[in-house]
Amino acid sequence: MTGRMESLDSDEKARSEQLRLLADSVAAFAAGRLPLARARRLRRALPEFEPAMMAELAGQGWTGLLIDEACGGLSLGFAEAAAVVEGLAAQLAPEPYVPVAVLAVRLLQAAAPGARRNALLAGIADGSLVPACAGQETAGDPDPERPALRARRAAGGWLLDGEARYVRPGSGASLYLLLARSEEGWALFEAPAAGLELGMEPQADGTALARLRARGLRADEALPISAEAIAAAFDQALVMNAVELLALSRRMRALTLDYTRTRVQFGKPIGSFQALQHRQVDLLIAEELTAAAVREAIGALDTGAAAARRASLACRAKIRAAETALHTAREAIQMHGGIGVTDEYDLGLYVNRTLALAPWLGNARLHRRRWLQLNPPTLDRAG
Amino acid sequence: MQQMTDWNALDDETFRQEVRTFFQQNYPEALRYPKTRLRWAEIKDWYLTLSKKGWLAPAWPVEYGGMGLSPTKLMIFMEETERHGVGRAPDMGITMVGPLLIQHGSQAQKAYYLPKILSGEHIWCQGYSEPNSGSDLASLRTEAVLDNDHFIVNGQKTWTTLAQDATHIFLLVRTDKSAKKQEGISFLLADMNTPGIERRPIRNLAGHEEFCECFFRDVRVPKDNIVGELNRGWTIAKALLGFERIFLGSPKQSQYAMARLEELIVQRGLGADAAFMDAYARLKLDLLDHMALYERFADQVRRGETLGPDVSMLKIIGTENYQRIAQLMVEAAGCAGGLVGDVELDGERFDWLTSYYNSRPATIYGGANEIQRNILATQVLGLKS
Repeated sequence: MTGRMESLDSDEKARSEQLRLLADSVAAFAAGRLPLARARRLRRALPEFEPAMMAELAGQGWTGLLIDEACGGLSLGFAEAAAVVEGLAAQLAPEPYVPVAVLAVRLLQAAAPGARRNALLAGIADGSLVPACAGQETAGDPDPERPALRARRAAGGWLLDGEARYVRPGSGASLYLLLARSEEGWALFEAPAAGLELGMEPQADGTALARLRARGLRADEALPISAEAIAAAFDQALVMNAVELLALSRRMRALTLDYTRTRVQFGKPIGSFQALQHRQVDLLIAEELTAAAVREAIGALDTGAAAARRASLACRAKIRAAETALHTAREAIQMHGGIGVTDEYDLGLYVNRTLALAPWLGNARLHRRRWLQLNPPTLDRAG
Repeated sequence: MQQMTDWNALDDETFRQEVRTFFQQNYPEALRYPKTRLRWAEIKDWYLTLSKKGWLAPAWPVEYGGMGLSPTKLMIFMEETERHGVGRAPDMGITMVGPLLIQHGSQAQKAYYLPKILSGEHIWCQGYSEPNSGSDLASLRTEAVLDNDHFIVNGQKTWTTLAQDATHIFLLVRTDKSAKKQEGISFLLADMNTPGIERRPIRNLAGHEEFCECFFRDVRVPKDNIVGELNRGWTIAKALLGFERIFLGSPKQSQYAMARLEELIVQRGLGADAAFMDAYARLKLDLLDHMALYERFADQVRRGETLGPDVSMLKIIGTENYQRIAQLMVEAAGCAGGLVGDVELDGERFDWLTSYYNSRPATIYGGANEIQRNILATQVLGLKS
C-alpha cells in the first residue's frame, strides 16, 4: 500500500517536473518568437495567423501534444496542453491552437479509426494541416433535433446542407471538418474551403469567425462519432478556452499592478491608494478562484471523469474564467485611466482578445444555465 | 489514564474512521450543527468527554497532553469535526493559550496552566480588542503598571467572546507608553475572579449574548503572569497562528448554509424562478470554487509548508460567500423573510435570520476583510501604503 502510494507520489513529482520544464520552454519560445508587436501587427491580417508559425509550433511537438504517438503525436494530457495554451495566450498569439490542436484533434480521435482519420491527425501533428471544425456553436451535447448541418447519403458518398457560424479559425483553415447529422447519427465530413460558401465576421481582437454554408456539398467519406464523444471534445476545448482566459486575466492584472506602482498622482504612486489596492486584491482573488476551478477541471479531464462530472467542471471553469477575465478587463481599463482605452497601449490587445474569447463555445450565462441543469439543487444534507 | 496512541502512525483513512466513529457515538445528537455558539453549561459534558479521551488538544505536542497531530491528521480531525456538526467549545485555552505557553511560557506557567486547560478547570477568554482599538489593535490603551510584585491593570476590553463562562483571560496590555505602539505591549494572564474585573454581556442584533465588555479597575495581576518578555507581547501574539489560519477560511459554514438554502428552494418550488435560480447558481459556483481553492491551501498544509499571507484570500472569499448565501435565504423566504426563529414554511421549519445574523460579523472578526485586503495588497501584491 505504502509502496504503491510512494510510487504514485514520485510519478506525480516526475510529471509536475516535466510540466514545469514544458511551461519554461513555452515561455522561452513565446518571449523570443511571439512578441506583442507581432500580435499587434497580425490584427486583421489575412490569414489571421501565420501558417509558418503553426509549423513552428508543430516542430516543437505542441500541435501533437494530445495526438497518439502512432499518428506522430506525443500522447500527453491536458495539463501539458494547458501549459502550451497558457503560454501562447499570454503573448496573444493568433494561431488557432485550441480550435485545432484540441477541438479538431479530440473530435478526430473520437471518430471511428481509419486511414483518413489517422492521416488528418498526422497532418495536425506535423503542422501541414490546419482544420476548422464547424457545425456546433457551443460546448455541450449536440442537439439531434436541430443540427446546423445535415448529411444524407447520395451515390457513392454524401450530400451536406446547412449553415454554421462561429467557426475558428476565421481564415486560413486548410480544410473544414463539418459536424453533421444524418439518419445514421453524427459524423465528421471533410470539406475543402473551395466547396463552401464562406464568409468572415470580424471579432474584437482582429481575428474573425467564419460563417459557412453548404448547399448540396459533396463529401466522400463520413467519420462517425457519438454524441457523447462530441460533448466530451467540446468540454475539453472549453476547459482550454478557460485556460486562455485565465492567462489573459493574469496579464491584464500584472499590467495594472505595474502601472499603479509607477503612475504618480497627488505626489504618490496611485497604487498606494487603498481604493485601488482593494480593487486589485479582488482581481487577485478572482484570478486564484479561476486557477483553482481550472486546475480541478484539468484534473478531471486527465483522469477521465464521467460525463456529468466532466461537463459540470468544464462549465464551472469556463464560467469563472470568462467572468474573471471580463471583470479584470473592465477594472484594468478603469485603473489605467485614459490610456486604458487607447489603441496604442498593450492593455487594449488583451481586452479585445478577452472580448473575443469569452463568448466562444458559449458565454458564462449559457454555461451557468447548463450547469444548473446538470446540478439541480437537492435535499442532500451532506452539502 | 489514556492510552498513548501514535495517531500519526495510522493511515489517514483509519484515523478518519476512528474520529468519525467517536463523534457519532459520543457527541450529543441535540447539539449537532448548533445555530449559535454553545454556552459552557451546554457543551461542558462534551468538553470533558474529549478531555477523558485525550482529544481536547489535537494540535498540542504529546508531551503536554495533546494528540500531537501532524498537519495532515489535524486537517482530518477538523474536517470530521465540521462534517459531524460538532459545536465549538470555549477553545481559547486550547487554540491560543496552550500553544503560546508551550512556545513562550515559563516552566511554572506550563506546569500550572496546561493541565487545568485539559481538565476543563480553566476556561479562557481573549482580551484583545478595545472600544477604540479594533482593526488598529496595536493602538490599545489598557495599561499595566508594575508595582513591586504585581501589575496594576486599568482599562477596558470588548468583544470578549463568552467572557461570562471564562475563568481566565489573556490580555494584551500597554506596559510602555513611550515606545512605538507595537513595542510597548505585553502579554498577561489574569484570573477573572481578581477584584476589579467586571464583565458585562453585549446583546447582539439576534438578541444573543455571545460577547462581553470587560472592565479593569486597579486589577492586581501577579508579575509572574506575564508571558514572554516585557514589551514583547505584540510579537508573540502575532506569531501565534501558523497553519491554523487556514481554518478561518474554511468553506464549511457556507456549505451548511447552502444546504439549508437548497432545502428552501426544493420545499418552496423556487426552481421555476429563472432569475432566482441564476442567483442561486452563482452562489453555488462561488462556493464550489472556494472549496477548490481551499484544497490548494490544504494541500500546502498537508505537505508541511508554511502558509503565506495569501491565505487571507480564503477568509475574504468564505465570509463574503456566506453572507450572500444567507441573504439569498432571506430572499427565498419571501414575505416570511422577517420572521425570526424556526419558521414553518410550506410544511417545513427553517431559520434564515439566524444564518443572516451569524454571517454579518464574519467579515468583521478575525481581522476585518478590509484589513485582510490591506494584508494582501501590501504583502502579496507588494503595494506600498
